[in-house]
Amino acid sequence: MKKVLSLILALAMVFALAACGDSGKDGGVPDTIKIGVMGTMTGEQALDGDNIKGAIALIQQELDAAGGLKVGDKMVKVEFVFGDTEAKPEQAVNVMQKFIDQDKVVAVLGPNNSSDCLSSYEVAQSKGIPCISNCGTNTKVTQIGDYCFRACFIDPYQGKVMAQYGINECGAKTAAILYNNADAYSTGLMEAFRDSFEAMGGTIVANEAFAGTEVKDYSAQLTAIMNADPDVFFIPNQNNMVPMIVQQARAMGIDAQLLGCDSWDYEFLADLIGKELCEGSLYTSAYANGIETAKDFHKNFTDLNGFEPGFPSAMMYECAKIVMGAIQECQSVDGAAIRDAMANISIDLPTGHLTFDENRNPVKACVIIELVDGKRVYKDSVSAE
Amino acid sequence: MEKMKALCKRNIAFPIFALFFLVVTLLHQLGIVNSYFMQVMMLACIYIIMAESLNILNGMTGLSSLGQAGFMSVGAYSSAIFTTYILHVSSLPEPLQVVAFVAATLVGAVMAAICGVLIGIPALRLRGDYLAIVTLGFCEVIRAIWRVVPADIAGGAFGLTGIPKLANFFWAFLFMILSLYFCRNYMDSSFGRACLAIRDNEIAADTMGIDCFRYKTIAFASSAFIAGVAGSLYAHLLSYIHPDVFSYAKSSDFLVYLYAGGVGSISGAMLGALALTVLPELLRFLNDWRLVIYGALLLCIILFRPTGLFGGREFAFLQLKTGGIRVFHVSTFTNWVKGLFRGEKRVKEGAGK
Repeated sequence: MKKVLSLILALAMVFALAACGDSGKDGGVPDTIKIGVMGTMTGEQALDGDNIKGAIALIQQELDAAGGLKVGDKMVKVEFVFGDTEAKPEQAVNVMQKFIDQDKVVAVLGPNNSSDCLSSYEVAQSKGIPCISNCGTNTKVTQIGDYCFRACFIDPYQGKVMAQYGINECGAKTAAILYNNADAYSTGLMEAFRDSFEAMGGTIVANEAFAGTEVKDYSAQLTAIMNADPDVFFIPNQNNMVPMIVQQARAMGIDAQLLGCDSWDYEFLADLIGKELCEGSLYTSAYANGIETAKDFHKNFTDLNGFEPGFPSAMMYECAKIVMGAIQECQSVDGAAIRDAMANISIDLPTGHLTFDENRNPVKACVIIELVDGKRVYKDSVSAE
Repeated sequence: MEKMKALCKRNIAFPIFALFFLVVTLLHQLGIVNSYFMQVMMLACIYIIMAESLNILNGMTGLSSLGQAGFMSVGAYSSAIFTTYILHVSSLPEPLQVVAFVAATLVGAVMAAICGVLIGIPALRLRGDYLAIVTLGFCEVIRAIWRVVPADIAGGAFGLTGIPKLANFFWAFLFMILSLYFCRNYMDSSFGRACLAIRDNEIAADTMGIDCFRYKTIAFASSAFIAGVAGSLYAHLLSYIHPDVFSYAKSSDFLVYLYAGGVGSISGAMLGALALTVLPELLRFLNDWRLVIYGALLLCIILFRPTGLFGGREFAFLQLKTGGIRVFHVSTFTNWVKGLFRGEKRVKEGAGK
């Protein structure tokens, strides 16, 4: 029994000691502030973790070059604390608790995974620490509370952008949609596209559904679409279905302009479809390495880390920029002040200008990518109105 | 007086548990121990319950299960659906919420036990590795079911959000202690002894007239029941559950806790789960090297202590003494009641055999 008791006491002491070392937070900005960075550093999604670390390394490099973060007329040292969620929701909660109680962070960046966000943001919300996810696309993430933000756009937003682009840039008057009604992603995009397209005066001449990924033959739906003869054909589906849909549509003689969504952003998609069949197709994406405004980011990131930035690293870089921008704006490390500054932020980032809507989802440009000769080519940046 | 002393000595764990709980709670209230510590402790309690549940199968009965996370998910989902959608607990007054939580935990545990029996009856025709594969399959099936169940009931592929945060350190600690005593008394009962006999030599046990199938089914049900309790605590602690949380990787975590602690020993399972939940947290300062060092330490435990940290031994308060623990033992009470009705003198304690 003594052994147990001593063990328990020892553990309690270790934790209690670790809990000490609190720094005062009275008025003004301290000389050093800590920002928590959490993500899936190990486990199935470790690649995202590498992207996140790369982005923070770049931020750190920039800060070192500038001698710190300029808040008011004071240079503040920013320290990033890393936490591994292992893509496990309970680990994410542990990391969040540690960040807040032990490291005394002023804000938290990440995690990248929606599940980890959903479990850990409850803690941040109750403790009043602002947090911003780089790729938590689940709508519920920011609904947890007013301290929860995200840097990536949610799925329906792309539908809105695509509808606008179809009308404004492709000159479309009529559109057809083929979506999967067993898939929340597909259905959400369809609804957003349909509503925006109709609101802007366009007509949806055919809105066809199929059920589930097992469906391999779309001829019934495609016949209806061909008869409606639309100007644009929106295909919001997962990338394993897109090739079959496009091939069957083209074989049937549908020659409408094809529009897609970010699931199309897959290196070998054009090869799978057949280069000539998808020539000139357009789709939306959150980030592309060809974006004009992201040239510097892309170059610096690649020079520093030795690999090209992807979507998670670009978004993590932006998360850090947003939080640091907010701290500069409010000149405080108080959670509520940073939150308010974040909610009202208006900032230029690698993927374009960003503000937040009332649900703390970003309002920013979507990237439009065109498939030219089987290659993904950056075409435009568009934001929804 | 002598008797009193002996009783206190045997049940010394009770005041210690109570004291430990009070001290930790007090330190937390005073702000000396932070919520991070409490969070880790609560998770440790939940994982101790899971390790104990696995110990009933792997340790006591010699059945290999790789589907413990499946039972946990049944407990988690059914209790969460019960509090979130059936009772709408958030709109109830506080005292009722606590009642609802305990009720939900029971619902979760019973549902898990039913699943345990359902999977146990067909699966127990198999032995060893084959049984392990079946339980693994069960775990995956359950996970697939939570995805298929309509999203407005179980959250589907997005996971179930908005579960009221009703579990706290008190409940986690209480259920952990209860599960320890449940396991201890189970092992000490005729069921437990039959299970031990089956583990040691099934053919011999069968020859001696032990209904192996029956006792294995009971072992499965009890194990699933305890796992269901842990599942309910987990759901109401994290307030978010997702089918992928309860993957076979989770099951293997519990297996590691059990074997690192000492399979077959209740104290071992407890120590293993506690140590391996706290250790990765203590190693967080290592950043990238954390899981490397964690793995290396695990390796050392198994290399230098092949029977686990506490294999083959028990803390005094968990040691087998036929007759059960006096304070908690049900037979004391039931015998007393029986005695009342029969108008006999109280039967001298001697449950078990």
